[in-house]
Amino acid sequence: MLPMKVSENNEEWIDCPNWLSWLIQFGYNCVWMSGTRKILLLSMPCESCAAALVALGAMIRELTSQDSEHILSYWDSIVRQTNQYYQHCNNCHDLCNPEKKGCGFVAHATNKIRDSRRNRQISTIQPNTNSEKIEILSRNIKTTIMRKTPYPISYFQIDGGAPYCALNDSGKINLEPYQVICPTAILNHANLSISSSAVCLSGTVMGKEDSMRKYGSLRFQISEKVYTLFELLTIKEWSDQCSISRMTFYNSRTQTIDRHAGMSKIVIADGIDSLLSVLANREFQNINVVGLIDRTANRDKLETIGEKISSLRQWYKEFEYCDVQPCEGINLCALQRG
Amino acid sequence: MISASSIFQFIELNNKCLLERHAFRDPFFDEFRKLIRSTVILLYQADGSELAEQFKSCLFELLTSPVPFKGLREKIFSFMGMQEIVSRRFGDEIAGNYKSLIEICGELDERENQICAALKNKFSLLSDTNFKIYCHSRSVVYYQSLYGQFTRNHFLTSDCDYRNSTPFDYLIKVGPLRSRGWGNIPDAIITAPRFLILEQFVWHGSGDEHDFGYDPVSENSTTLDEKYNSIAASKKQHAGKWEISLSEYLNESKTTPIDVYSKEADDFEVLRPYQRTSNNQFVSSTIVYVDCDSDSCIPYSTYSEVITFNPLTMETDAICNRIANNGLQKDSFLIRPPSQDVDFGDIHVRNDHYSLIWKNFLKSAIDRDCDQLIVSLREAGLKLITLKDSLSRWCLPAGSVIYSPQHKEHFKILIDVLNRLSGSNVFQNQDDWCLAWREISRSRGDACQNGINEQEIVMDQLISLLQSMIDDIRSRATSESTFSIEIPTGYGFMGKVLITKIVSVEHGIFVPRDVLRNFCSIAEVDKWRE
Repeated sequence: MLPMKVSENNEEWIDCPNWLSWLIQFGYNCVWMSGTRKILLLSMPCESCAAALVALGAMIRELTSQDSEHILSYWDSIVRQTNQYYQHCNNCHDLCNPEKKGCGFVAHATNKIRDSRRNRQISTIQPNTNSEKIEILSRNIKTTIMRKTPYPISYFQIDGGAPYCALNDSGKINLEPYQVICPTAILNHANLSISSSAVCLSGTVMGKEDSMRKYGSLRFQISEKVYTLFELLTIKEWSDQCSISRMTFYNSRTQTIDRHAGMSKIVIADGIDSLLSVLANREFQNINVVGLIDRTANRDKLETIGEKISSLRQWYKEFEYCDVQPCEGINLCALQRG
Repeated sequence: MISASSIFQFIELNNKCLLERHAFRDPFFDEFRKLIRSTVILLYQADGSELAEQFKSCLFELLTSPVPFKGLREKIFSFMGMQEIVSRRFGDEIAGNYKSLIEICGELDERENQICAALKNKFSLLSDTNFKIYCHSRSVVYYQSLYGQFTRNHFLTSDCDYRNSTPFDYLIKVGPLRSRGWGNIPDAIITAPRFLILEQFVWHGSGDEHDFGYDPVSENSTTLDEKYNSIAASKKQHAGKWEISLSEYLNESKTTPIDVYSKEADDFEVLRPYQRTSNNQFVSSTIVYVDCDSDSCIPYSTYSEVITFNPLTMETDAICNRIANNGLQKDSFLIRPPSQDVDFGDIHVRNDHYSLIWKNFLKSAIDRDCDQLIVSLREAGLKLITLKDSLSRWCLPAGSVIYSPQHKEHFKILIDVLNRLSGSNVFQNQDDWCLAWREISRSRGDACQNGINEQEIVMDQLISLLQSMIDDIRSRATSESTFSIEIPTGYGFMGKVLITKIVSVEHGIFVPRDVLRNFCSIAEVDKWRE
């Protein structure tokens, strides 16, 4: 049991319940899943802030990272796009129609990249690009950017994609609540003053205001200080604490993301409609997804997501996700791209 | 929102649930059901689908609510009247069925509905426990007649009510477990139970939906399959969560359960293929029951936007567009804009106002004598090769376009012929056919996009206007459940906005497209329920 109290909907303070700590631990474990794309689905017995709790756990794990910052997640997104292009799209000679082709993607990928310093001149990312280096060919001149000095990549933008956008980071987020929530985590203090977009939370389909209201209903009491869940998420402009943001927010109602600093490692979707929006969005097609749905939703909605899961099974196979023990009341389904 | 911790605490403390299924047999009621089934089937075959729907609704209500048998004879009689009339209209077979039905109703009038008796007994036994009843909001009155100490908290009438309920001891349900249609109940009562014991009261032969208890995430969904009706399954433990106990009662005496589920005795299964055929396309809708009219409701397309006012939120979006499937809640207020169009300098009619009129005349003419209609049209100059198919297509309700003759002259010929054959004018004014034709042209994209934009502008303006009047609306909403607000002059549209409290919301009913957004009777919706 964690040394803190929680309160839901302004009710009395209670010790941290098992379901809550389980969800945070689940997010902590799943953010660094490697290999081909994974989709983890959790069904809950009631409406709750489960998605935000999973996102919080993922965010805390990212705080332990030695190299997490948004420039690197932008780096990763370019590498993922390039891999999809060379492994799949480049060998496909049909007019791009993923649904008809049945390739399992949502949109095509390209190896074209634009350089904002040279009037958005088009260059080509080379096939031997990998997670440690990106090779760019422009007018017969090859440029190699190494991951350990990634900043030049911020000048480049995937053709047709959103440009990199740096945050004016200032201040530092408070270490204490995260250390108490995950006491075994070894947090990298450097990350407290650097923004990151590794974790993305897709809010409820009712929009940003509704999501904030929902996540504001859950509070943590740590060392006599009170934190709302939405404050702890450090989503840009949700809190006045400081400008550091360790999580991006995807508004599934307007289908916009709050900042384009590269795609994330993981997207956590809150609810059936939000999950469907994420699965249909080309920006997330190579990113691991965790979807949380409420079993008390009406039958039509349950069947909508059920049909989507059935269609995914053409390219995804079920695997046993063993990183956590099951939690009473929460059902889990784990799919991995075959 | 109910706290998730309380739900999880309940789950941790109670890892088993019990389903007690009480199945009742009454030979007279069995006979009644059999006669209704055969009457419905025969009526469909005899083109009496309207009447068939009425009989079906009557039967399904009896199967899913504790309706007393008394008064059944009058009700059945009110559907078709005297037997001689039935015989002349539908023939001897249906008339014979009907006669037997009236007789059996006479017998039932003298008998007590066993389920009603069992429920009365059960409510007395449970009076000191925390129990709830899941039923349709219109069935509440039947339960109240059995037990005088109910409060509003005893009833769950929608999945939203269930979602917001705290854990309790007993859940009472009459009828089979179905996710849609008559007697529907959320799958969550099986996949996410918040109670210890489910007491189900059914008539013998009524089977639950085979996939009830659906969880898209779990492969091993906690569905209750048909086999639980058998003795072998009566003690079957299901997915580690549910225990099932089966009791059968014949003529008020408890018997040894002997039946195996039989589709032939399941009224819902038998009558499933028999639906009223219609040219109307049916769409999934959200039904909103409003305070201003207890006999009517308004269906909205599932993903359409509806202007509502939520008195619980103090923010600027208290009045805004909400998606019907997501944003409509009990005790919020529905806002009905004025019915006439904004004056954009064009015809002051709804997009399909005139088409509804001439299409009705066309349908009636086809029903009366299609061959004569075709001959008349050809003689008048409408010489299409596929005229018969075209007529069927022109009857289709307006969607994004209004199905109609392609040429103005052909449309004029059609109206003239309809005027002649029906003996009365299709339109009140003779020149209104020109307006009808303009309506058709607009639907074909001459001003299609403009129309869409205009509608969006109107709704945005209306919402802004109402938001500026939020204080007045909020104060009236505290004391009135239905009121109207006059639109001030200078806004381009006139009339009153009706604001009425939402009593309940029901999802997943398929209704004809042309009734969307209009008041329609609850009895009509009941016919579409299956």
